[in-house]
Amino acid sequence: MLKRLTGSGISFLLGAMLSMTYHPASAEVLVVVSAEAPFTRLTSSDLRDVYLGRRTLIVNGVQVVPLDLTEGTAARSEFYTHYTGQTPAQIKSHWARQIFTGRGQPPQALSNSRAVVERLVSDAKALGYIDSSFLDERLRVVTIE
Amino acid sequence: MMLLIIWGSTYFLVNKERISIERQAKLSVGEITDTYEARVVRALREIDTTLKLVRFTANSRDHSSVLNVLNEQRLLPPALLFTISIVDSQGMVVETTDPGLLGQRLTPPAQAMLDGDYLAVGEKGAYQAKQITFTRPLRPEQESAQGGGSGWVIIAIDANYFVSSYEVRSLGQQGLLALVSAEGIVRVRRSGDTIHSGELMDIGAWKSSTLDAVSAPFMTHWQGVERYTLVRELYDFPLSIVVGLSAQEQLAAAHQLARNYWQRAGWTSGLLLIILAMLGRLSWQLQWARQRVMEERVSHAQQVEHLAFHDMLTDLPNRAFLSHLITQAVKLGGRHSESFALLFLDLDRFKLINDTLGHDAGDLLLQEVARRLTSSVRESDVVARLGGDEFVILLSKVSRRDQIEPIGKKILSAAREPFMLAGQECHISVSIGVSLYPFDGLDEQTLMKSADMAMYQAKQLGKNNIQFYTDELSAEMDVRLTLESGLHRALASHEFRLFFQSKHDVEVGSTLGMEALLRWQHPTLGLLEPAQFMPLAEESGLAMPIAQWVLENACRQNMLWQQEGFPTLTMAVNISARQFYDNSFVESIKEALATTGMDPRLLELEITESMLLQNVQRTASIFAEIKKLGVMIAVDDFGTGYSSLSDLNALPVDTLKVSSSVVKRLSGTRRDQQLSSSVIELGKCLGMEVFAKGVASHEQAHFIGSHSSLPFHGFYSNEPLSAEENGQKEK
Repeated sequence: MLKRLTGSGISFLLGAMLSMTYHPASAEVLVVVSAEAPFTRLTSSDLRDVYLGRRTLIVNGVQVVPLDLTEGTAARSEFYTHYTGQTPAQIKSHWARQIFTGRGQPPQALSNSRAVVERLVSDAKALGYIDSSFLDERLRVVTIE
Repeated sequence: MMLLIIWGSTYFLVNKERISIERQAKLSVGEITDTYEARVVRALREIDTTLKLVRFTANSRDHSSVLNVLNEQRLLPPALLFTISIVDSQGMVVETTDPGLLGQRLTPPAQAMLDGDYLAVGEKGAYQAKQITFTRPLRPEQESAQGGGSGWVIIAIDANYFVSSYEVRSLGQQGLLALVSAEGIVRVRRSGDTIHSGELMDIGAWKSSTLDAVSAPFMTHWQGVERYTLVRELYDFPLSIVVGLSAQEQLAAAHQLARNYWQRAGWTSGLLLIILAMLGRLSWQLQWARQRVMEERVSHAQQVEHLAFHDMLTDLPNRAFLSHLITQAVKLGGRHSESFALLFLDLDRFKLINDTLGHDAGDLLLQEVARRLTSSVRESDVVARLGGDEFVILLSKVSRRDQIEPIGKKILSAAREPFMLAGQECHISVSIGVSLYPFDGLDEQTLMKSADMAMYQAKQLGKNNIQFYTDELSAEMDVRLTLESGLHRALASHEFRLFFQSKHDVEVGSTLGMEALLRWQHPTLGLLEPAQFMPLAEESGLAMPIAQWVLENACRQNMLWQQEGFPTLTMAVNISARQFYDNSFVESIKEALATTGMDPRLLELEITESMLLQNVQRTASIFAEIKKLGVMIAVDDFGTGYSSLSDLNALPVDTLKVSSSVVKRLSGTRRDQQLSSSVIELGKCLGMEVFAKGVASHEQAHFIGSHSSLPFHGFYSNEPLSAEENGQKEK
């Protein structure tokens, strides 16, 4: 069957397979919450909505406060690209519009993963993403479905 | 008309649509402007508040941690978009939310800003994106007091932040949202997805070009795009906002709609035209059909009229039309003293041809006659058919006999030309009577009557000739009419009489029999002989009843004489051809004999020689029947006709009455005597009794008697007497 495909078809197929299995060389980014957090699972659309300021409540009426990293960190751009499917520029443009039209404020931005970890540990409602190297037992990785 | 309505209403709709879209566009420019203005002002206030907050905090605390402190308290706008820096009097960035800027040296803002405490707006290129900066002096009171340089607080924001509310949905690709400085420099502008800055926009001129640039959108033409535009100068800030909607884009829908409308109008017009064409065609067809019906009606009416005034068979004018024409001619004649003639024509042998060859042949004959008559007269003359075999010709502008006679002769000879009917050559002739206007009548009726009389006269005079009306004719006709009317009552009022002629034996001279002769004792005209009234009787259908009367009365008289004691006599009765060939003839004889009781052998029927010849076969069969009754048969006027001897021999004739001309010859030359003798001899040889006719005088009778060599059985006296007189004589 492959033989019958054109060259471009094959390269397209290969590209699609690569993009599905490729993980950046940089360290893996994990979505995490405090070990005390009432949930361990999130749908990817819930995650995206929470980070784009579209809502603050998830399933079962649980309130979630998202935490961001400051612009320019590797984990941030990895997070947005991987989990929301949008580039940092697009996220910026989104928030510019949200702020200008008075519809919302972006998540609080912390300067590094450590700060995020500290905040998560102290706030059960908080939701954050960190470089996997910062994962410890006080945290729980959220499964994104 | 319909097209006008279609196109007119289309134009109206398109125009209305355009106007409504224009109004809609202007309305939405207003709305967008209001919203945009509110957002910009709020954004600017937030920025200014932040500047003041930073300044306040900086002035009341240690320098090194102002921004961190404020950030932790979440009092600063998101660093994602807003870069806040505190700059010392040397232009060095001492504190900032963007770590990359720390320690950089910035160009000081305009001195004026540093002197007065107000929000200064500037711009700078950061990376690729243009940024707008807002600055306030750090210590305004102090600076103004010292007059030296001071630090400042600055917020730099991506320019596109201020146009991020641009929505393609409402503003299109060529709309416009812009923030313009008081000098007319575009700080940031967005059209579609493109961000511009640094352009010049002469908003001052725009504002002065319209009365109310703040709330009433006006049309601008900028950078090749026409826009409904509103310009608003911001209160408190050295900026103006400009909102524009591309006229082309806004009207695109209207244009599309208009195109649709025009297209629809086009289609509808086309359809309408097609329908109209079809309707037109239908109505044309309808009209055509109607016209045809009308034409048919008219032609039908004409046909009916033609039929009403023309004879169907010959297509000649009929009696009604002729009457009209004559009336017309009389009127014209009266006015212009013009005379004209009426020719009344009757075919002479038509009935015979009709009877022998059939009606179809008769019709053909009439048609041919009509053709010949028409071609025998002038174009201006009228040939009409009255019906049957009667025609009338109206000759205009003739007044004298010598003018008419040649025409009459022409007609006579045309009629005598043989006709081919049913493969048989036929000959006819016509009799013509002429009357002249105004000499023979002054009205149609009189003229027709006169011509008719003249025609009758022509018939009387042997047919095949032309006669002109005369007053004498009229008198004759009067007599004729008197007779005709008298005939009808003659039978009933017993005006007929029988006279008798005796038949004598040649040797002894004794009376052998009688011959009955019919006379009419007319009340005014006296005693009339059959020749004077029988033709009339035949015409009026009285011939048969009269003949029957004769037959019966003759027999009755004979019986009377027998009863009175006279010797038994034979009784001869003349039979006309018409009577003889009538189907009821034999029956009528039987009836007469039965009524009177006379011996059939005494009855002698006299038939002329010419009758024998008409139809020998028929004659023979009738003779045979008569003979069965025992009645005798005599042939009258023998010797005048040309009877074939074989025919005569075949017929059971008992008696021959030799014509008086034959009798006369007996006293003529020897050759005459021999001829007559042989005729008589012939009769005798055939076994018949031969009697002489027309013995006028006693002397002649005696002569015949004395010349016994003459082979007569006897003779007839020439003197008819009444029954009484005969009775006297016999006694």
